[in-house]
This record gives sequence, structure tokens and C-alpha cells, in this order.
Amino acid sequence: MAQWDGKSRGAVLGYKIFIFFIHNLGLRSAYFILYFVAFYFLLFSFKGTRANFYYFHKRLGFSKFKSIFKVYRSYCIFGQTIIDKVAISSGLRDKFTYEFDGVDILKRLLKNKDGGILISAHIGNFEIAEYFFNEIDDLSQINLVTTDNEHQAIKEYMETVSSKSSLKIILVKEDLSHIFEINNALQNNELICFTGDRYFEGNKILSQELLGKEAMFPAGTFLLGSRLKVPVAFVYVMKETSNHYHLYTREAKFEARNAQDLLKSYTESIDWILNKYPYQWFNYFDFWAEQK
Amino acid sequence: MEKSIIINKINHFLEDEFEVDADEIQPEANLKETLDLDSLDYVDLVVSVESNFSVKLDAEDFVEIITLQNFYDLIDEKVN
Repeated sequence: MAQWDGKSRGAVLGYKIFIFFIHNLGLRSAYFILYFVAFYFLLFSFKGTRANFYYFHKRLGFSKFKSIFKVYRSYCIFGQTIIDKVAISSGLRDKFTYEFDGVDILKRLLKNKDGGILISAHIGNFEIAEYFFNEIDDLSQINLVTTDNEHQAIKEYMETVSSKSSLKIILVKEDLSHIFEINNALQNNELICFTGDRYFEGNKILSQELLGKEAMFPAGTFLLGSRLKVPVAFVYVMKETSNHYHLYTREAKFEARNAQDLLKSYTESIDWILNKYPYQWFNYFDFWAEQK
Repeated sequence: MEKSIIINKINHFLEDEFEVDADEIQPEANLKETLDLDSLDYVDLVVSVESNFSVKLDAEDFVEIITLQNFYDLIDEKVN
């Protein structure tokens, strides 16, 4: 089944090495190490490589030969986004520039104080969005709903070197406490941000075409977004050059109370952004369940 | 508010908001299974209860809710 197994790869030592290089020898040196790390992943992360090869070859239509190189490049860019995240959150925000396409939509949502739902994806580098929200006055109005799947040791280490997030984090937990945090945030007319592209065993799912082939998505985000009478927008943070990011916000157009229509609007938006940034699809698992 | 009115109101929004067939809404039915709830759907349920009855629900309220009857009893207790 095409679902994420809930764990990201990595080890504390790897993070420590990269942070040492970033702070002592600069970003470029950390990027340089990535060429070797990406090669290692290309060879030994069989599932991830196979999944991304399928994405480039079958979904984007590149030849087998080109797709191998594109998988390698995708690993490099993925690694760069992680390095950027570590660098920015540990005080090197000034090394990066950005432009914000659709900031007016986000500002309007916050100004109207009617609440709203933001839906992102594992594309680009959404986790650093808050560091580029200089133009947004009140980040405390934005709540990020996330699962607590990062390796505990990595999380503890990163907390020691990172600045505290200005966004409010709502962790999805077994005890359903997140439901009440989400509800409270909505009652306070705040924005709730979800990712709409990964689901876990036990989640309800919806199917919709993405890049010309049916894929499964978590139903909850789209049911909620379509039923609540609040605006919905899609948000992405895409890497353009080694030190420049492009943020996008797009208002979702869909029929009220029609989760499938909202999902369709989402997948069309993902199609559009992946056509612009094909290397920044970071779902390294069997997304379309057709790769075997 | 009389309990029968509460039950009717709940059944009405379950049919309307959660698209549950009327004949599936039985007191002994399992709430989670009947409504096919996953974790985010509970937000809808909580929002619906709060907008229909102006009462606030907490995480602890759901600990012992298994059947629709448990749910009716909870809302009745909160409202009255």
C-alpha cells in the first residue's frame, strides 16, 4: 500500500557533522559533502531511489537514463533543503533571500480573522516558511499540525542548536488532544496548516489523479477543509538557487462540502508546482503504488 | 432541553454533516465506526456539537464514548 512508514532517515552524527561544516566552513562546504551522501543514498536507499526513479520516469516521462541522474540531483537538492533548514534555524537566516508570491492572500486571511486552512505538501522546504514570514505580523496565529515522527535523538539535538519556532505546533496524538487544539485555534480564528500528501495506516483516504495517475491522499484534511466554512489556501516554499527561496500561496477554489473537489484543486496545484520544480518532490516512498 | 430533542438534533447533524444513513443511526451503534471517523473527523464532530448546543467538549469527554447512546448521554449531561 502506498503509505509513508512514518520515519525519516538520518542519524545525530550526520547532523552534527553538517552543522560543524555549516558554521565553520560555510554552506558551500556542506553542500559539497552532499554530493557523496546523495550518491550513497542513490545506491543504498533502494526504496527511495526506486520511488523517485518511478516519479521521474513514469510520471514525468523522462528516459530511464535521464531519470537516474535526476534521482541523484533530487537527493542533492533534498539534502540542500535540510542543510538550509539547519542553517537558517541555527542563526544563518541572513545568508538567504526570498520572494513571496501570494503574500497578500496570507495577509488577508490573517487580517480578516475568520480563521482558515493552509495545505502544503512534502515538496520544497515548507518547514523554513516561518523564517521568511517577515511581512507577517503575527505568526502566533498560524498553527502547524504535524506528527511526532522525527527520531527523538535528532530532535533533542536540533533543539539545542535551533531557535524556538514562532509558529504554534499541534502534534497529532493517540489521545485526540490535537482535535481540541485544532478546534480552539479555529474558534480563535487562527490559521491551521496541514500537509495533504501523506497518510498512515488507519487513516481514511481519498483517491485523485496526480501527474496523470490515481494516488491516495489522507481524507481528513480535505474533509475538514471542505466542511468548515473557512477559506483554504495552498502554500509552498521552493528552493530556487543555493541561497534563494520562492514562497507561494494560492487560494483553493472548490465546491463547499465537496472534499473530492478540494482534493482535485490540491492535486492540480501540486501538478503545477512540480512542473516548475520537478526536483523538489520529496515523497521517497511508493506514492502511486505501481512501482513494482 | 429535553433529551429527545437533543437526540433528534444530533441525529439530524449526523445525517446532514457526516452523510450517515438514518437507519444506521442506532443508540447501540459504535460511534467511530458508524461515522467512519478518523482522527481529524473528530474536529468536525466537536465543531458540530459546539455550534448546535453551545457547549464545550474536552479530550477527556471522549474517553468513555463508544456507542451513540454514550454520545447522546454526554451531550445531554453537558447541555443540562
